[in-house]
Amino acid sequence: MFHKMMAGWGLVESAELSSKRTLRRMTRAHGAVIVIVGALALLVHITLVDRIGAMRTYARFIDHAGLERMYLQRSALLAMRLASAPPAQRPILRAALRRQAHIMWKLWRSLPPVRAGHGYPHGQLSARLAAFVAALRAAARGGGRATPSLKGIVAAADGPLGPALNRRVHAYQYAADQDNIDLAHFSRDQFFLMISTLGALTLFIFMPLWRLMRAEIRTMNDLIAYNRTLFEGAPDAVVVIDEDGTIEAFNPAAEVLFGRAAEEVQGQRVEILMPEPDRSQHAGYLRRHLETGERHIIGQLREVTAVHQNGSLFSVELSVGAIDGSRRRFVGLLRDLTARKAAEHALELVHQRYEALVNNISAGIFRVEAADPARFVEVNPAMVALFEAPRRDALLAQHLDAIFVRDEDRVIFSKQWDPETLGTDREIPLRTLEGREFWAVISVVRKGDAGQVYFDGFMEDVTERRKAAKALAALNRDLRKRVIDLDIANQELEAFSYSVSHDLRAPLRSIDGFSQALLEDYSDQVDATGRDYLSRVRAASQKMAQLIDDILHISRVSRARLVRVPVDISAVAREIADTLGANEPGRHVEWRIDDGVGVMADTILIRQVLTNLLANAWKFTAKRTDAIIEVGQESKQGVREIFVADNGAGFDMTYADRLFGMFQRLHASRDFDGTGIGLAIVKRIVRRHGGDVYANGEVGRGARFSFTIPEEDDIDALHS
Amino acid sequence: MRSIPERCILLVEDNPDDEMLTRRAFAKNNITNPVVIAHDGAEALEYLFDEKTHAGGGQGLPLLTLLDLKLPKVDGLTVLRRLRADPRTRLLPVVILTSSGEQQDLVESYGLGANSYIRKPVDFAQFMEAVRQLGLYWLVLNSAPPTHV
Repeated sequence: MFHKMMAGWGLVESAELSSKRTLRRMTRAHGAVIVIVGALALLVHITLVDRIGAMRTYARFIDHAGLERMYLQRSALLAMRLASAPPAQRPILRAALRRQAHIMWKLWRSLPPVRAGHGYPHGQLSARLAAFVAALRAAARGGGRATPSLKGIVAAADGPLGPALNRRVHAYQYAADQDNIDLAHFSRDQFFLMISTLGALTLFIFMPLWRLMRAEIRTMNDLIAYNRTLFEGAPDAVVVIDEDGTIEAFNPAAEVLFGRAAEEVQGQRVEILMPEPDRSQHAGYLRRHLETGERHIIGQLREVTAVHQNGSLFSVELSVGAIDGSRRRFVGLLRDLTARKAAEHALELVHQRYEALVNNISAGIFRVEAADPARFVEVNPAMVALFEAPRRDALLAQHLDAIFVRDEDRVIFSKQWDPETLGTDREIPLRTLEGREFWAVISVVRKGDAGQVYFDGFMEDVTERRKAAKALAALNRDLRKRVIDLDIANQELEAFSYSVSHDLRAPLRSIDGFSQALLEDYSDQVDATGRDYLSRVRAASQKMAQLIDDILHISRVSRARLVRVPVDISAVAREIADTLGANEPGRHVEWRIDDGVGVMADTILIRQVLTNLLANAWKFTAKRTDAIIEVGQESKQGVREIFVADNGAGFDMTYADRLFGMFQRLHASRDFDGTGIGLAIVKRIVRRHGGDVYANGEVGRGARFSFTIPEEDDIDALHS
Repeated sequence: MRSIPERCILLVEDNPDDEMLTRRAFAKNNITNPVVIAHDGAEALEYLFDEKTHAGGGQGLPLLTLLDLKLPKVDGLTVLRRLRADPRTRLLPVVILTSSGEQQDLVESYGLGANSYIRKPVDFAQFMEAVRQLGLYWLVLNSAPPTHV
């Protein structure tokens, strides 16, 4: 990150330098080009003016030389005509000759000499022409010398003077041509010079400049991309405003932070992002900064409040930077402090909570610095109370040697002591600052830090707990003894039951057996009354055997181990019904057994319950021809009841509470036989399952027995 | 049925009343096999293994042993266990004849290899009927295992 930033600064600085260099080069090149091109233009201009003047002069010379030649011919013609002209016409011709002489001489005098080698030498030709002109003038004057002059004129005109004049024209033309050729060469030179200048410019100025510019553009593009990435990728909000406080740029993080789109806020006042009073004062801040140049905001982190698009306020950390470019701009970097504030708040709460925890906890929490002597360096209020210290300071000042009651415990909190190996959770006697002794459990961890050894831990006053534990141990011993006693009692009971079952029956068997033997072997010595008595003895002994069996049965029910499994009551009831029907095939009973009745119960015991209830129903409907026995289940206040109902003899509800008592009967034996043990067994078994049993009935209308078998979990809940 | 020499019935019974009643029931049901009485478990074992008093009696092993469970000295279940552990008496027919109706006794007896379990009824008529059926089955219908195996 840091390196990247440095690279960024390098980029910016080099770009600045290159730009300056480029500008300087451009200026220099521009000056040089102006000077060179100006000088060339001046040169060309002067040369051209000169050459054009020369060309015009040569043209005039050629013209004049031509005219000279033409006048020569004309003079010859005039001379010839004068010679043959009548006298009347001669004056006119003479005047013409005179004019010719004048013009020719005047023209000749205007002509410059030609360079040597081009025609006749100037002096020679000039003398000849002077002679010719003199001849003309003589001819014009007339007289005696006129005729020879005329001959001379014609001869001169036809003679060498004509070609000499012709050659003079050529000479001038040649000179003009030479000049033209010079001009052409000059033009060519100029052209090449211009081309060379342009080439040099291109090569030495434009090319490097172009390369430089291209590099500059690349650098600028990099900078733009760099800045754009920074701007758009920054996790913090970036807001750029101009001098007037108008928002120019708004990055995506700012969009998220303020809940506003960049397009929406660009061009708006920056004050829309602030709450009062900043909103109204911001323009003033800005103006003052611009006027005075005070920089007390720039470059400093400040915590300010901002306004979200939905109007809510939130804290941000603001840093403002100024961009001193062509225009002055300000950059605001804003970081959302909501999360940090929340985290700080949460941390504070946690801190408070832990502080409260440490302060409120009833166990003593401490830190000991292992030294000689060791001292507490941190204690919570519970520790102060535990050691009966007047103040916290008093406990912190206490040498720990003094708190141990036993000498061997002083190794605790020494530098050599390691709770890991030497055992923590120790129960040791300690002494308070007041001198009172108490038992404490100390639980400690050892912490080493820079040569210093600390023990962090907690301790509890267990004096009361030790007393309670002792009492509990005594109780437990007592309880164990009782359990053993109970076991012995149970074993005795077992032996008793066994003995009842075995030994009480034997005498009965003898009574019955020998009564029978008496009846059989001595019937002749015993009368009818005696035989009746013996029969009663036998009946009574058998009845007693039945009672013994019932007592044994009920005791077995109470002792049997209860194993709960799912039992299909419907199926069991049908089986019992079939057995009952098979034993007395002559009876007609309508069975109404609901399907799907099931419980979690001991299968043997619950079968006993159903057997007893159904056998009762069977027995008490014996005198009806339209007997109905029902088995089903129904819910009463959320508790499921299983019921067995019949329309038999029924019972009087007044004695309902006696129904379930042992050997209680509501019916005379002569009506319905039985020992009165069946319902007692039912009640015992249902009670053993945690349930209850109910009876409803009406004499002559039937009876209804119902019972509940709660789930095991419910029983646990009940007991707890 | 009266084939000689008739093999005896061993009745292990400590109660003289019961002994007398059982004998009476045998007599009433025309069971004439000699009845040997053992008054406790030790006596029964002595007789069966020819250890003392019954040694050389020449009567061999009884045709049927009626065994009470609650006995002085050695109880019935121990006697049964000893009989079944010995190869000589391993196959001896043993019928438990007891006052006990305890489930536990029933299960243990069959577990130790009792051939039958009869609870002595108090009603003498029922007792007679039980003895009659016992005699008919074990002494007449059943083929006894060989004496020496």
